[in-house]
This record gives sequence, structure tokens and C-alpha cells, in this order.
Amino acid sequence: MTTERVNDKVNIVMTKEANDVANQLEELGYFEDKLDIAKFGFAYAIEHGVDREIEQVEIGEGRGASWNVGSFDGNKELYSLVLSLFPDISTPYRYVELLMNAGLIRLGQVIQESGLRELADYM
Amino acid sequence: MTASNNLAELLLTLEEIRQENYPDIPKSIVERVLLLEYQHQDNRVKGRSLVRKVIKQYLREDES
Amino acid sequence: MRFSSLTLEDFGPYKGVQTLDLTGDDGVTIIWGNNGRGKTTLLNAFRYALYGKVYGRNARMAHSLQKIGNWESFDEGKYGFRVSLNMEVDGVDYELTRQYSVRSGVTVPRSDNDYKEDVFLKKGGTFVSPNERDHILQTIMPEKVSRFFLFDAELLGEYEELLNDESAMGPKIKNSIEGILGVPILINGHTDTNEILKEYRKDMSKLARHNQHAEKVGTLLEAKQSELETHEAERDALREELETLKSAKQTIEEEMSRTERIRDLLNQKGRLEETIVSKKAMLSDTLRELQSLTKQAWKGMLGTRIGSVVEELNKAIEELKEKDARHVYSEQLMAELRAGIGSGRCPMCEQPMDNDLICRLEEELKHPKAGFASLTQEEKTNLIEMQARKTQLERLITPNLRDEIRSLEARIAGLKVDISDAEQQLAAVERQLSGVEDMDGIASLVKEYANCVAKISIVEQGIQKQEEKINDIKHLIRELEDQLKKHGGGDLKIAENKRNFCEQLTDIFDKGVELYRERLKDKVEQDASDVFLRISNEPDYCGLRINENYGLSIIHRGGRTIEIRSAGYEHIVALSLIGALHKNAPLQGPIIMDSPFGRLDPDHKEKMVAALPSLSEQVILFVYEDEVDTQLVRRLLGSTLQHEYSLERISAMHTKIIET
Repeated sequence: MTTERVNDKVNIVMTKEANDVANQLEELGYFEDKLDIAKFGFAYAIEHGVDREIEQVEIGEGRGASWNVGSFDGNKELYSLVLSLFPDISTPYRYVELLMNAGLIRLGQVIQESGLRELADYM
Repeated sequence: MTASNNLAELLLTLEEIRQENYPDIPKSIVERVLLLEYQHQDNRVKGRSLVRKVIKQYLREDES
Repeated sequence: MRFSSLTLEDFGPYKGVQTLDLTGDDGVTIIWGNNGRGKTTLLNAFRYALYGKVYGRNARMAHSLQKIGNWESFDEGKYGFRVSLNMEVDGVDYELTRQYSVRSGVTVPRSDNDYKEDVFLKKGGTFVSPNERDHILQTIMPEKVSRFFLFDAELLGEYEELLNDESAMGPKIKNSIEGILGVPILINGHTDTNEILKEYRKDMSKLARHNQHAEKVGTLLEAKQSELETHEAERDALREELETLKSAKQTIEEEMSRTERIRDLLNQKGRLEETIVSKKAMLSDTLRELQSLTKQAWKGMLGTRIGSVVEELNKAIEELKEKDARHVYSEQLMAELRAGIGSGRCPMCEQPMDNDLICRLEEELKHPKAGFASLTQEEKTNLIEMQARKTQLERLITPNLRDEIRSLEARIAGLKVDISDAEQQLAAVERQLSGVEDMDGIASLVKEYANCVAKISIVEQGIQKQEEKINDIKHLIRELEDQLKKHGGGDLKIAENKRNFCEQLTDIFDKGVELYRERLKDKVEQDASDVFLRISNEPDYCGLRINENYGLSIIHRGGRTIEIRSAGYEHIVALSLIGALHKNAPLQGPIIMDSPFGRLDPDHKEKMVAALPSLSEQVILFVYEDEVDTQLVRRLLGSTLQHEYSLERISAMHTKIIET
């Protein structure tokens, strides 16, 4: 277990496709920075059960915005959340990154289908 | 219509005031002063001296 | 005054000696001629004879006189020119001749320096002295009011500008008009008699000083008289200021009503700009509020999932706890049974148990049933982990901010709409304002007006104070004079009477000015309306209204004033004023007009022709042939048409005046 935790990510990176979706949301002007959008994407994924069909999601590739885990999750809220919600996950930050990208991609699809509505509609 | 007909307008105005407020002032002196002013609009100095002469003459006559 | 004839010698295109006969009864003389034939030169001939000036095309520029002489005559060696004007004033004939001739010693003149000018005036056939000549001419037709008698279409246009009263010209024109109407005559009367009054006042106090007894009183009296003069001068100055201010107020009022629409737009612009700024600030604040919420939004979004996971954990924890509880209970039971086996008595009822029962119980105890097993080590570890997870998850439950965020988003959308609406309205207002000059000036009109009104009030109060002071001093002077009389005797009484006489005479003229002005305005308004109604064919116009500065507005039947007039109607209103001024001026003279019909439509031309004889006793017109129909004019004027001339071209530099 411990050795695997050592394999956990030290940087959270958006894929290019997820970054594009994040840019769309950024244009609203409703988020102070992309970090908040990243967490939004992560929460969206969980709330809408994207984690349960994660294999079906094309999360994209390449590098968009990125943060080191110290900036991303300074007080380790996310870390303890993932451990609590998903006890089988041994690399919490890797999982956070995966869910963040998957959530943004899924959100991007919804936006493409029915247009960008109010943020509250996605909550 | 001659010039004097329109001078009459000016005279009428003065006469109205004279009758109502200062009936003791003779009409003739008012007329003479007005006429002199009319005739000497171009030479104020001359006009004034003639008006002065007329008034003084009148008052000296009145005196005697 | 009327003109009897105009004789030209080598003046402009009029080669040789040519005469325009203007004698006759009251009526109209028309001189027909196309452009370039010399109509304007004829107008200049009158001007030259009276004032020695000639105007070029730009009405203000005096021409070089040398160029006026006829060119053909010049080429033939005949230099210079002459104009003779015969006039009749109150039954007396005058002949005015002004000539421009070559100085002796000059063979061929090259510039104005080679010429000299001579002016002669005959009164009743006899020459008068130069002084008398100048005096008579100033009386007959002073130059500063000549614009109301001699004018061409360009000057008429200038006159119309005067009527529009848009600038500081207002008070100047008012003075000019009051000049022609004779107001200065009364003002001069007041000034002069007042000066003489001052002299008599001084006489009185001088008299008093010669009398020893009365010397002190006399000195005081002189001082008071001096004070009185100071206050009277101050009051007179304030009165003048008041006139100026009232004129200015009138001008501002007209400017305000003219610019009302623009000021409304400026106010709208201001309000919209304010709205935009404040709404943008609100938008900015709301966005910041929203951003602080979205930072935390992710936590609230997980509520459902956390909730369901916690529920699952609770179920699993419960199951394990139950199992554990069952196990503990069964252990307890087994312990009691063992104790019973050992003692041979039932642990419940304490009755002795038989051997069969004891054996069976021993067997049972060796093979306990499943379902009462204890938790495995794994299960124990699990339970602890699950409880830890549950606690952690419960700590992470936060309310979903969806509703708050939705309400902020709605507010932001609303503000954005308000801002873009206001911006669009602002753009529309700015479009309407584009091209407007001097917006600062217009915006400050209301303030200017208020200042003007305030100043007027102050000046009026000042005048009143001065008059109170004047009355007080006069009262005091009377008392001092009474004292003097006791000591002064008869001489002083006589001086006092003279002084009183002058005072009253002065007062008559003083009051006369105000009364005359008022009456005059009413008369001018009435007369101008009469002329106007005769010329205008618009049945809904019922007259003209005059203002402080002799500006005229057209009154519509409903009582409203017509603000914007066509060029043609400007023309008609200007002519109406000229007609009214002629009727009311102490100075009587002919009206001479160049191209008077230019801007009118046929209907109005006809009416104007019919109204011409009423404008003045003698009307002289210079008209070009297509300006108005000749037959129509002859028919309409009938016997009031005194003379008709036409200007015929002999050559480019030679025009002949022909009587038709």
C-alpha cells in the first residue's frame, strides 16, 4: 500500500480537451480561477456518477492547465475525501485528476448538446 | 405725413405725463425742449446749450 | 422726406448725365434691370450722395471711389463723376450734389489721391454753409439709421439675422431701432434738463453761502446736493444696467426655448451615463460574490454521493454490530449453561437438571451453531475502518450552494440586460447630439438664466435703495432749504422755484422715456402685424408678437408662437418690421429696396406688391425682370405706380435709364 501511494501524482494536469471545456466555463467570468473550475469538474464527475462508467469516457490527451498537489489541495480536503469515498483507491491524486478530466469532458458534452445554461443547472 | 406728425407722438406722451403729474409746467416749454432735441440729435453740445438758453429765458421771464 | 430726383453723371455704367425722376404723389417707383446692368450701383448712388460711401458686393466694404467713374468716359478723357440728389423735406426743396473730380495739375488720374471731393447743399435754391449742410443732412437721414431706409437683398438677409436675435447683437439692434423711433430724443431731453437742474441746485446753495447766517446750512446743503447727485448718477447707471440685463434675459430665454430639446438630451445622457456606471459597479460586486461561492461549490455538489455512501456504511456497520451483539449474547448464555452443568441446576429456575439433559447440553456446547460466531479479525478491522470513513465523510457534508448561485446568476443576467439597454439608449442620444456645437454653452444656459434673474433682482433692489436714499436726501434738502429761507429771504425762494421747475421738467422727460418705449412697442407690434397679415396668406397666422429686443415672432391662431420660419417668411417678417418702423419713426423717409421679391413664392409676391404702398409714402424698388410679373405689378399697383424705368444695355460699360 505504502509503495503505491508513493506512485501517486504530484501534479494535477488537465488534458487539452478538458482544458477547452474549462476555457468555455472561464468565459462566464463566474470563477475566480481555473483551479475552481477544476474542482467543479471533479465534483461534477462524482455527482453525476461518471466514476461508475469511467472506462467509457474519453478524457483526451495532451497538457492543459496544471497545478502541483500542494497548491491544488493545500489542506488535503480532497485527499481525505477520496480516501473516504473510494477506499479501494490507492493513488488519490491520480484519481482526482482522472475524475476532474472525466467530469469536464462529460460537462463539455452536455454543453455541446443543449448549450451553456446557468451554472446552477449543472450543480 | 411729415416729420412733425411723428414728433407729435413724442409730444403726446410727454403731454400726458405733464397733465397728470405736473400741470404747472407749461406745455410750450416741454414742446420747445423736445423740438430742440429733435433738431440737434447730431450735435449734442449745441443741443444742450440751446435747451439751457430756452429754460433760462423762461425762468428769467417768470422771475420778472 | 422724399426724393424728387436722382441725377448721375458718369457714375458707374451711367455714362453722361442721366436722371431718375421721382416726383409725384405717394406711391411706388420701379426700376427694372437684370443683374449686372447697374441696379446695385443706383442704390450706391443714393448712398454716395448722402454719405460719400459706396459698398461693394460684401455690404460692409467701402469701394475705392476712383473705380466708380464710367470707364468709357475715362477712356475718352473725361474723369470723375457726380451725383445730385433732390429732396423735399416738410415743403422745403433741397439739392445735394457730391462730386468727385480731378485735382488741378493732374492730367491723367491714377489713384484716389489724384481726385478731390466736393459736397454742396442748396436749401430752397440757396447754398448753405458746410456746417449747416452737415447738420441738415444728419437731421434728414442720419447714417446710423440708413440701414432701415436703403437696403438691398443681402442687407435684408442681414436684417433677418438681426430679427433672429441669436447673439449679443440683440441689445445693439434694439438701440438702433430705438434710435430710429426717437427714443434717444427723449433720453437726451432728460439728460440735458437734468444737467441744467444740477446747475440750479448749485445756484441755490451758492446763494446760501453768501449769507453769513446761512453759511453753515449752505455748506451742508451743498454737501447734500452733491450726495444727491451721486445717488442719482448711481441710480441712472443701475437703470441702464437693468435694461441691458433685461435684454440679455430675453436673449437667454429665446436661446433656452430654442435649445430645450438639446438640453433634454444632455440630461438624458447624464442620467444614462450614471446608470451605466452604477450598474457596472453592481455587476462587478455581484461577480465577486459569485466567484467566492463557486470556490466552495464543489463541496456542496458531493452531498448526494456522500450521503449514499454514508448510508451504505451505516448498513454494513449495523450488520457487523448486530453480529457482534449476537455473539456476546450467546457467549453469556453458554457461560450460564456451563455453570448450570457444573452445579446440576438450571441457571434460570434453579431446578435440578436430570443427567440426560446435562449430557445433551454438554454436546450442544461442544458444537455451537453458526450464527453466533464472533467477528473475524478482518471484520473487526473493517468495522473500525468503516466507522472512521463514516465520521470523515459526515464531516465533509456541506449544503449545496445551487440556489444561492442561481439567484446571483439571475441578478447578473438582469444587470447585463440593464447595462446593454442603457448603452444602446446612450448611443441613440449621442447620435442625436452629434453635430451640436457648444454643448457646454447650452448645458449652462439654465445656470446663466438663473444668474441673470438673480442679477436683475439685485439691480432692482439696488435701484429701489437708491431711490429711497434719494427721497430721504431730498427731504433733508427741503428741510435745510426751509431753514435757509428763514435766513435767506426772497432771493433764495426764487432760486428754489427755479430749481423745482427744472426738477419737474426733468421728471417729465424721465417718465416720458418709459411710457414712450412701452407705447412704441405696442404700436410697432400692431403695425407690423397689420403689414404681416396683408402679405401672408397663411390663414392660421393671426399676427406678430414683439419682445424686449424688437424681435418678432409669428403667432399661430391657437396662441402659440412659430419658432422656426422658412426663409420666405423671415423675409415677410423683416419687411413687416421695416414697415412698422417707418410708420412710427419721427424720421420720415423713402424705402429703397434691391431685389425685394427674391425669396417669395408667387402668392406672397402678389400680396407683397399690394402691400408696398403702405410701407412708406415713397417706395423705390430695383427689380430684375423675372423676379416678378410686370403685368401683375402694374395691375396691382394701379395709380400708386408713379414711375417705371428700365435699365438698357448700350454696351458692357454703358447703361441707359429709360422711362417706360
